[in-house]
Amino acid sequence: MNDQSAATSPEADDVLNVANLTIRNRLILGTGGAPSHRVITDTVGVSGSEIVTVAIRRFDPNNKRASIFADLKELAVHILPNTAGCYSAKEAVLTAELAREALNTDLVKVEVISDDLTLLPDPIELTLATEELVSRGFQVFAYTNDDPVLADHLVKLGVAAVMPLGSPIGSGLGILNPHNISIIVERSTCPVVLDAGIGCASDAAFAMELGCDAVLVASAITRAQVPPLMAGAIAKAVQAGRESYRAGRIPKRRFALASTENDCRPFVD
Amino acid sequence: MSMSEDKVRLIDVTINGTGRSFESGLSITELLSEIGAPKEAIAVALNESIVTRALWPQILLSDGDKVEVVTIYQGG
Repeated sequence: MNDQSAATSPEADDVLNVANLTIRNRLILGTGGAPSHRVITDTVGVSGSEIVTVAIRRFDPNNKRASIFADLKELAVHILPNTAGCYSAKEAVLTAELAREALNTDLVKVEVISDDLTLLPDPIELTLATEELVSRGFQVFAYTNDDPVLADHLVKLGVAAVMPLGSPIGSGLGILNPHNISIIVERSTCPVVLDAGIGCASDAAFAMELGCDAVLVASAITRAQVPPLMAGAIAKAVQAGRESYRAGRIPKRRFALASTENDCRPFVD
Repeated sequence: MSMSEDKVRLIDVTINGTGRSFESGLSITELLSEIGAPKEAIAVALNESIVTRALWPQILLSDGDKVEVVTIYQGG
């Protein structure tokens, strides 16, 4: 969503309204890949993130792995359930309904994956799932390809946010098609959240400088050598990138443009 | 059928992909207690249809039912 002109003074209250939420911190934390719940709570604390994603999985009666719910409840963050691991619209809709029942929330990040190798969204199943979920009253955060046309379709279906990938999930390849991301930002009437592919802080800053309204980061933080340190770095980068975008970058030029006036130079008549 | 045979009538139910036997007349609430599910952040689907929390005490499981019990884990 192109809201560069909405808040241009440094003091302006630069909040993000997305779905039924109003947030100030534009880093959304994904929790996948974290070696422990402690790492997640530490990174939430350091980053100040207000939205955290979770997955819906079968309850394990043997408690070999514990639910993250109690930890997140203590942190008082907004929980954004996702449909990670779904390969069809039918699975995604059922998973979203389970999430709504479990968490009493209409928020859902819809992910419908095409295959295990690329983990790229399946555009057809994604569109079908989104259409159905919107009709059922969900506030859909749609994880999508970096395709402006597909993003347009999702926006028209009524998503709360469109979430184009920078590069494949967990790849850390950064933003491979910034041109397309810019087009999505320019044309979207709802918030754009750059999702997937962020590898380090500068990638996050770049996403924000392209005009994205927020960035979702999981692996770059949870799988960093020192996750809380990376969480802090990326949070700062998101803020810096946002301010840089709001400030407005200078146009690129082919040749130099002197910053010092040429008049009144000594020894020059 | 004698009374004692009637009392121990068992049903086979698939819970999260694993088959288990229970005495007939088991409600979803009782099933959740049986498997040690927490009180919060739990959802249940019975034969691929969501069962809302308010209906858990009323719905009794039948032989051959497939139950999914889910909660939230880190991910995404």
